[in-house]
Amino acid sequence: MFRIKATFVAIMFATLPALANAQCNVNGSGEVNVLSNFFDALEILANTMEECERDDLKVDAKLTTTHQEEREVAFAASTSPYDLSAVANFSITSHQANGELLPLNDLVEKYREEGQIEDQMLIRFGDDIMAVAFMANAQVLFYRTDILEKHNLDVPTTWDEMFAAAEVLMSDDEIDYPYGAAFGGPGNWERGNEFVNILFSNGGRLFDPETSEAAFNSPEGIEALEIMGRLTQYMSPNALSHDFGNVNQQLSQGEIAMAIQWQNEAAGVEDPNESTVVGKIGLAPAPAAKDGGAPSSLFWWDGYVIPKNLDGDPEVAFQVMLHALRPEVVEQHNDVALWLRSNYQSNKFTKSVNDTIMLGAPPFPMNPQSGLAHSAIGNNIGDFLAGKESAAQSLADAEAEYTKAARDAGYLN
Amino acid sequence: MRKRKSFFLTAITNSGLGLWLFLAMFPFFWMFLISLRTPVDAFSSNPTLFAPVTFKHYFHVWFVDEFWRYGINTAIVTLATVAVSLTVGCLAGYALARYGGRMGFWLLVAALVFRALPHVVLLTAYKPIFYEMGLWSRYEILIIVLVAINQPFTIWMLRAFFRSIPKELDEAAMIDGCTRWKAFRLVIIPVMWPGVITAGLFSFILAYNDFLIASQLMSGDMTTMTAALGNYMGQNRSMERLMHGIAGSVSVTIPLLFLILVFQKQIVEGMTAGAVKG
Amino acid sequence: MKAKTFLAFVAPSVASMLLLIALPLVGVVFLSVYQSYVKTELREVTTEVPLFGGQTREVTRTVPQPVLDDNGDAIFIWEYVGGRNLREASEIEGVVEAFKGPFPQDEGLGGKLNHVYKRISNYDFWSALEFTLLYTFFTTPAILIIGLGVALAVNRVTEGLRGSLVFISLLPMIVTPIVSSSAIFWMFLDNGIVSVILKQLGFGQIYFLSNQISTRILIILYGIWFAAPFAFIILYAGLQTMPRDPLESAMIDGANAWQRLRYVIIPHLTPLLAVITMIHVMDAYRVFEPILVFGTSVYANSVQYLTYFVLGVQDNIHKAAAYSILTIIGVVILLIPILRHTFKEQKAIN
Repeated sequence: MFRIKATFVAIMFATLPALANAQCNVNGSGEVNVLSNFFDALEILANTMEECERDDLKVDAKLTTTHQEEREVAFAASTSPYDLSAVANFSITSHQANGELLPLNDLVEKYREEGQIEDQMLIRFGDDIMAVAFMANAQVLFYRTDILEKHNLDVPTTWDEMFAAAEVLMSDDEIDYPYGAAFGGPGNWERGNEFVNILFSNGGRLFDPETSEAAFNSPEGIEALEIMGRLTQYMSPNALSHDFGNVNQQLSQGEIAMAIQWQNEAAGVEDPNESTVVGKIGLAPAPAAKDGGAPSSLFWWDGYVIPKNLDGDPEVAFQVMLHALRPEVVEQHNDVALWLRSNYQSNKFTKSVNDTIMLGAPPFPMNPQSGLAHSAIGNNIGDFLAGKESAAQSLADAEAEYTKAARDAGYLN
Repeated sequence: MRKRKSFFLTAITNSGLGLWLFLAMFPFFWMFLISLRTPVDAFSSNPTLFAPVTFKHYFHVWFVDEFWRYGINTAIVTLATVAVSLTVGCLAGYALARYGGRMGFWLLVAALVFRALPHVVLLTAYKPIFYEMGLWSRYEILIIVLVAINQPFTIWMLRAFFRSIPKELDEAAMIDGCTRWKAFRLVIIPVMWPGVITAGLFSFILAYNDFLIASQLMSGDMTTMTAALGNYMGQNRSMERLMHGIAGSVSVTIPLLFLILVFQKQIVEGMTAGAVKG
Repeated sequence: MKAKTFLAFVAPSVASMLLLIALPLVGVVFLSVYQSYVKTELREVTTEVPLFGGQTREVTRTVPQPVLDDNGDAIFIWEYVGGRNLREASEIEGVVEAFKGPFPQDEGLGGKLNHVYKRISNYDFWSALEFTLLYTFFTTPAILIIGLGVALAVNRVTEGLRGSLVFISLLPMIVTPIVSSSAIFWMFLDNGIVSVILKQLGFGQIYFLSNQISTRILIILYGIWFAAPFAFIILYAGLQTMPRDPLESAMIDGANAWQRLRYVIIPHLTPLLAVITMIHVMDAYRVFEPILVFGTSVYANSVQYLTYFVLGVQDNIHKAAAYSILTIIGVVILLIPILRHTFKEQKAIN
């Protein structure tokens, strides 16, 4: 349905016959419906899957930013319209906890060789293989090398250094604001995300794993929220309505000197078609809340799952997925994402994700309570950042919302 | 004296009108303008009226993202919704205009309340039910949902319109021995078109512009153009994709422009003929 | 018309409304008194997560895991909770408490009311309702005035030009709302065309989305811009049916333009103004797209967006059903004056 980026269209036409010939040897027939989020890497994979389409096999991919909502309803229904869905460590948890996912162990064994499945791609819960992952991602610090150089500033490694640097950059007329981050956006997801990043770096946690009770309304949590509050002083006053797309725009128009952004967006900032700051951007791990602490970032993987209640044949869906995850696809689109296959070649940008992990950033916790806490936080801390109420009040509101949500999901009594 | 005063008045009304026309047009004009630019120019810190023109966003949206499929879906859903809505609505609107009993009144009151319901209220119930029954992503479902949502407004509007058609017309036919149905077919149908076209246009706009319901009930290649625009919004978008979204937005707008261009005379006529005298 | 014929004629329409509007409403009430989830228990689970360059990391922690029945399927709990969802969605206890106090000691009535307002507007539903009503009450008179003004102005223009003027004036109303709110939103971003032009005209950089008041004003202005064409087209149609005689005799009597407007034109249009008000109040109560597109629910939320958010993003159909019920109650209260008017009018006809 969605093919390759426009910039590649010319290349695509040149190689069209070759692509059409790409062998897709799926045994079986029927219909494979794929649901996934919408970004470059997933677009490429969806298009590759659709190569498998033939007379007796229909492959249909829906890429949408409301994938999560649709998936939750679909997987909980008696039969799911979707046979295959892309998830991340954020979104897999509730499906796993609800027992909605098909364990893939048998399929993995059967196709391990043919599909060249590598162990690092398998997401296991206990003994069960629940997902096949294809890429890793993390939010990292994007900074303007030229601007930091001009002011003799080092890349900040802690938030205190960030505040010091931002203070200096306030007077620079070349940029509008020293800093940018996604503090807004639909669904309040981004706002909660940045809080969780800083909270973990600050040694806090979201909930007590023994009881599922909220634990983010803590001194660490208040500190984390206050760091976000201080950051808004160095950001555009419109920041509470900025999502990652707006941050991208600010960066690529040279309006800000530093920003927290998904690593895989680096490709766009380096594209002269989209950006005025090509060659002036450096990437580093996000600042830490404490000296020598882990960066304020979590790392993520993206992968595919098959629901238990699919209406098609899981084996066909699995083969279609494997076709898209072939090593050749990684090779062909090496710089689009940080692929998890061993033939992936890292570049100067993906090093920042590597460093983030090496400095101890944890993966986004794979428990369903984390998602609920994340959402409750995102919905409530906006009031503090907007100056409507205190940090303590915002976190108390968030805790109340989390408690109800966890109870409604059956995790708390 | 008199002349000068009216000159003064004309100047005021015309400049007010000019301002309004500018405000009504400008956002779309600007959207159209930037849809023809590379992302770096479209969201430049120093916007200019002229910038290098490119059609690649349109090319991408229509042929790479295959927007034409959604165009076909939109055409099917919208036209079917309008046709069914009007057929069902004309019968009910006519009956409501000619029937004086209590039932008619309560039906109108219920329709009024239904008309006021935010659509998400209905969606709350549709989603679990349709997914549970496996009735997802099908033209029929979206069409009947849109028809139902559209009914309250359609029957109110058509009732008002049919009331402006003199009762004597069909009553005379019935005295001549026609049944109610035959009278409706022979006498009313030929004269009802101005009102029906107006009601049809409102149905069309509702069905065509619906984002909420289509985006939740349709999936993959079955979705409509408007709902497909949702794919270009959201947190993981790149500048390039935002531009595709803008090109898509302009594409969605163009058929509406043609529609209004062709029918604006009928809208005014239909309304003048009584469709708004609720 | 006989009742039987009437029923036959309205049957398809009534059936569609019963099945797809009335029945879902019953469904919403049903959903709101339940809560459903998969039965889980906390268990130690070792998860393996891919890292960079072929490494993996193993993490062991307690994770809720589904409790399985004899067939190995997850157990789905469908629990009756009565009015709990509704109570929590409306925050009724919090609202009652806010009125009870305790209040800051040294403040007068104004201070106390402010205190109550602050506490209540901290609740999702009430703050969404607050903005929805503000939006409704500010846009309604504005669209009547602008719609009337534009209708009168277009009516003065020579016949040949009117077509194109009607066409342009209708644009904001007919263009897909999600498109038009996006088009407006892009213009008001940091470097949107409006911000830049205002800056170049010497107003300085204005951040339209940086605080509650300006965000709300912006959304309300969008609402006026979006709905004024609707008022315009109806009033313009109304002006076409305006009889010539009263106007001419008013002119002979020496009435000036204002007097003609006040004593001849407006009385003629009054029924239409009522229709517009009624329809617009319903539409305004549903405001959704600008909230979605502007992404600023901290500053301005609406009841329809709130329910959409709970339904879609939070994925809690039961809580969404509770918000739906509150939304319906709101609509009915809003409609009471209109329903009474319809009732009287209908009585007069029969």
